[in-house]
Amino acid sequence: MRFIPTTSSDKKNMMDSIGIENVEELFRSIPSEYLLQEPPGIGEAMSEQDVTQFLSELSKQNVSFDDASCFIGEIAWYHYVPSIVQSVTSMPSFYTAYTPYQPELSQGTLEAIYEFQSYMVHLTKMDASNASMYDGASAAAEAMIMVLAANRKKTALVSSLLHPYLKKVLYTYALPRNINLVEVPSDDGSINHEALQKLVSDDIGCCIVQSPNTFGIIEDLAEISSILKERKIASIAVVLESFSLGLLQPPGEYDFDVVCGEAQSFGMYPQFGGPGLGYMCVAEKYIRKMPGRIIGKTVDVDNQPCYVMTLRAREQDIRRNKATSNICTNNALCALQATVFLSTVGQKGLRDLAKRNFNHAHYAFQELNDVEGITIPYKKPFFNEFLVQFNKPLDYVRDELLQRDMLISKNNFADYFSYLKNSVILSFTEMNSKAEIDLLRDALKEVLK
Amino acid sequence: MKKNIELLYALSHEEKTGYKLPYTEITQDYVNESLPNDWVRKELFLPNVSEVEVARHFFNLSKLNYGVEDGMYPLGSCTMKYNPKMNEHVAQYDGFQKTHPLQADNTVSGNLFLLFDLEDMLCEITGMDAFTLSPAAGAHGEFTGILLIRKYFEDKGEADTRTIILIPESAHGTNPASAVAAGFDVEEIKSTATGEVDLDSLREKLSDKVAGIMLTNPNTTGMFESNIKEIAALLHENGSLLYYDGANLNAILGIARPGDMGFDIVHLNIHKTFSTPHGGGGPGAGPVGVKEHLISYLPEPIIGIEDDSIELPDMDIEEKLYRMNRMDKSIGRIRLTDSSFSVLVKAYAYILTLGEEHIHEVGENAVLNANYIKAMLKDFLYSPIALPCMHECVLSASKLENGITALDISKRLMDYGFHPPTNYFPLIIPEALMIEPTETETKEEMDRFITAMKTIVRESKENPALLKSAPTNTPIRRTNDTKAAKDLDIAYKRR
Amino acid sequence: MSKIREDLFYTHTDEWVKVDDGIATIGLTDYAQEHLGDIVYVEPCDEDQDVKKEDVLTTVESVKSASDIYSPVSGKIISFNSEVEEESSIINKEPYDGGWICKIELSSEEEIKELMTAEEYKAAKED
Repeated sequence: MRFIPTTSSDKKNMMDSIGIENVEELFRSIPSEYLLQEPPGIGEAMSEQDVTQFLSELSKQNVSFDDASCFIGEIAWYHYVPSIVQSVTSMPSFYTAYTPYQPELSQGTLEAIYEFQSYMVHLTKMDASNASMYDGASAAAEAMIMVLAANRKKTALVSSLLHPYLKKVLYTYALPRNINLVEVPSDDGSINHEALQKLVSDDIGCCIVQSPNTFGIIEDLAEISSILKERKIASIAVVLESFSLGLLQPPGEYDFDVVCGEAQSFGMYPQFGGPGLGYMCVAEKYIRKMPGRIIGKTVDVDNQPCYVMTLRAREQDIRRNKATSNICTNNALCALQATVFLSTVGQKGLRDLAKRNFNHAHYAFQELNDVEGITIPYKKPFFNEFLVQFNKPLDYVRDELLQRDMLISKNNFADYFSYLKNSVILSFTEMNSKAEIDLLRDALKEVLK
Repeated sequence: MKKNIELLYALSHEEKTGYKLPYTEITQDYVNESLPNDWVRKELFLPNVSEVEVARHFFNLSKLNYGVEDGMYPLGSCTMKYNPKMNEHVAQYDGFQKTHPLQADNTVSGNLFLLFDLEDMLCEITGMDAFTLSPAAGAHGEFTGILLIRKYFEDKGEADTRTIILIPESAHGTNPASAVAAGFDVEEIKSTATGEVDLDSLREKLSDKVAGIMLTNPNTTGMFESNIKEIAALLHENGSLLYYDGANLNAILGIARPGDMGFDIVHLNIHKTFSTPHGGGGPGAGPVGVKEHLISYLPEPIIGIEDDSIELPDMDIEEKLYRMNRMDKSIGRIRLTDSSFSVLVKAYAYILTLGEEHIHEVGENAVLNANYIKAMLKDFLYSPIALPCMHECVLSASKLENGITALDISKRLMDYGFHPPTNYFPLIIPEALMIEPTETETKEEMDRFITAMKTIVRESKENPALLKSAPTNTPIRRTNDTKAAKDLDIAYKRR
Repeated sequence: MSKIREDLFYTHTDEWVKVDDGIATIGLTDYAQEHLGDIVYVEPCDEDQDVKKEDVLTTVESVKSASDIYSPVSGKIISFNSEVEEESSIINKEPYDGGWICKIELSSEEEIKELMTAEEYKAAKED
């Protein structure tokens, strides 16, 4: 077995030192009825050559973005990943290391994550960031739990225009903690401010808003924040397409208490869903309530500057059932990916990329708006995706586009918003050229005729 | 070695960049006409640096880290085994990484086949009936598993009465934290001196309020719960469920299966047992396996097959695989996307490599190596448990002179070029040093480790200052953690 | 050996109580601060809040652990020692003086009788 270096003479020597005749003796504490007589049925062992060939074939059974144009977003986006990102995350002492519990041997990971926290703080304009969460949905759920615990409240308002999957995750996390979720109605593709105004009361502990929302539309965060602030309700903004932070005013600009979401766009391919990168940034008063790991700067005994994990006392390995969260392993390597990506594109590159996404999506909007058979229900400012409705069944349209090497989402928004028949989110990034968008327009003209 | 590496912010200059936008024919600027000016970001504080500076920065940082390829990494309970290069390679196939979670099922049949087959293999390996591959890490798996317990009792109309999860005092901290997150009260069961469940304490705690028990087996002291059969019987007679924390599955991989021992729910740590890298703290994956009676509560989506008479592996079935949100009884969705897919690709490649031929060698060699280290060190350091251990051994610094602690030993080990073992865990053993060599460690490296440990024990008597001032050979020395927590500096500020 | 003051009352969870004119001053014992190590943060209590005996008043964090402070008495919190928020190490230095945590207006003086005397606390710690 090529990953096990022990020779038979090593084995014999070790058994002699232990004082046993055979390895089975070491397993005598396992009741014999549980010892497997046959190995688990997982097939024959394969060589590396066979594994790579098999998986290469398997991967080619998929229709990848190399085979077809991708117009899917919602929860993950196809952006270019500069070569340097993969190069850095392939460095063995980054990707094989454990959580940096021993700072003397982990300054690389620690400093990189301190940089990640710094970037996220400035991107969101908040006071602090943690070292990462699993994904945008668990980050939002943990933010809700954190804020309600701090405010000793049991009810959260949630925008009805959260992505349906995000909303589902919030319900999953809320139920066992007896948190009531009350949905804030929408109007013409964004949150209905009057309705929000009516819902705010002293029982409400927080309000969770996604922007750009599930239709891709940018919410009026200034207005929403001021409605919530007036009644002292904690505000949580979720940003799933983190590229939007390069062009839009960040929620921190409007005094949100928590900004969290998904940063997969920063240097990670969609990878059929994962791993992505959850993040959580908070205003000062929540710093010590934040779940997950936090890296801080300090000095060593020689007064050399260095980095350590800090505020550890809130975590599960110390606080056990009283911990702020059960999170242990997070997504550190993904945070490193995002850090390398953001370092490479820099301030200017991120602005340019965000603008490029905006322009490509708006070009597509302009081209598709005139196609017969397409209705665009909401015409409000959006970032890089928008909702379209077709005059024909969505499954039919999707299959026809697939024939023409184009991929659109499997999510029919009619499943979540009954008034939206045959509707789908189309997403456009720097990866979709004018030619691709034109082909999509022409294909839809033909299919919807 | 460069010890202090400046943040990239310090190198920033507005003329520098590591990026150039690609060519586009869409040249119209829509921002002015389509976005209210108030909503346009005014200021963005990120560094501007060249690519060479980014490359050097992170390469130099990586040199300050210790990874599995630097040498032995015997962190108990973490299973720091070698991460095969092949895993990283296959996960980067364009056909995998350039696919979207919301693509229609008929465009991702390769991915669905892989996941379906992996579920099947994990069932075989653990003795369970079905798996969800969604959970993002071990603790996320625990949360999912305990929600399944909650849903099971809700379905039986006992949700209001079954409010307690029992957890041994030797358990990982995630167990009680996850049980609380899933809405249960936690009661601790006492452990015996070997960290096993104290049966009297268990019997005392059993009542109609108990929903289940969370057990790690082998437990956190590296011992197999020899009374597992009796424990399972006691719980099941009580109408309660057994949850298996798979953190230590490596010890019995290919040798015994939690499903056969009566466990109803199992979570696995893919990044421990199945060789995917820890990444400096993730990403991991924490699939959850269940027995038949819990299948309908699994989170969405599950992968279905149109005709389940088809034998695996049969590549022709791909057309018939689909994702579904079956279940009216499901606990719901637990994450944004369906799984940490690329982590699972790596685990799949690893299991294919092991095959039926080699899988038992993992457990065997992991246990042999741990017992070897224990045998060689037991006369030098206090060994609180005399019996053979499983995949990890626990030694204690509590009997050393001159006020030497487990932490001092750990720090001194760094000077000898090793990553220290886990210390101060499990909590039930004072001054614990928990050593897990894993099956991928060479005897030569273990012998060097043993020699270093013996030298350190000798130093602790002859020259304790060496240990107290250690490490001195590392990029930095012991840190001021009080300052870190009091003078909080957790993000670079514009100066 | 940690110090125990004769004129105070104590709890099993290592809080001390001093009663003066219906007002209880509450802090952490010397024994508790030694076990916690360097205290780095004390969460402010909510003033004007009503508490019952054994409710959690606040949490005290050190580098290696966090410890809940349970109210030894029932009543209303009338003040929180802002000095411990600003310079938490004062609990390590003067647990019985400058390191007091909060004051509670007692709702029942009777409860004081349920607390331990210095002698009883000393005996409990020696066990």
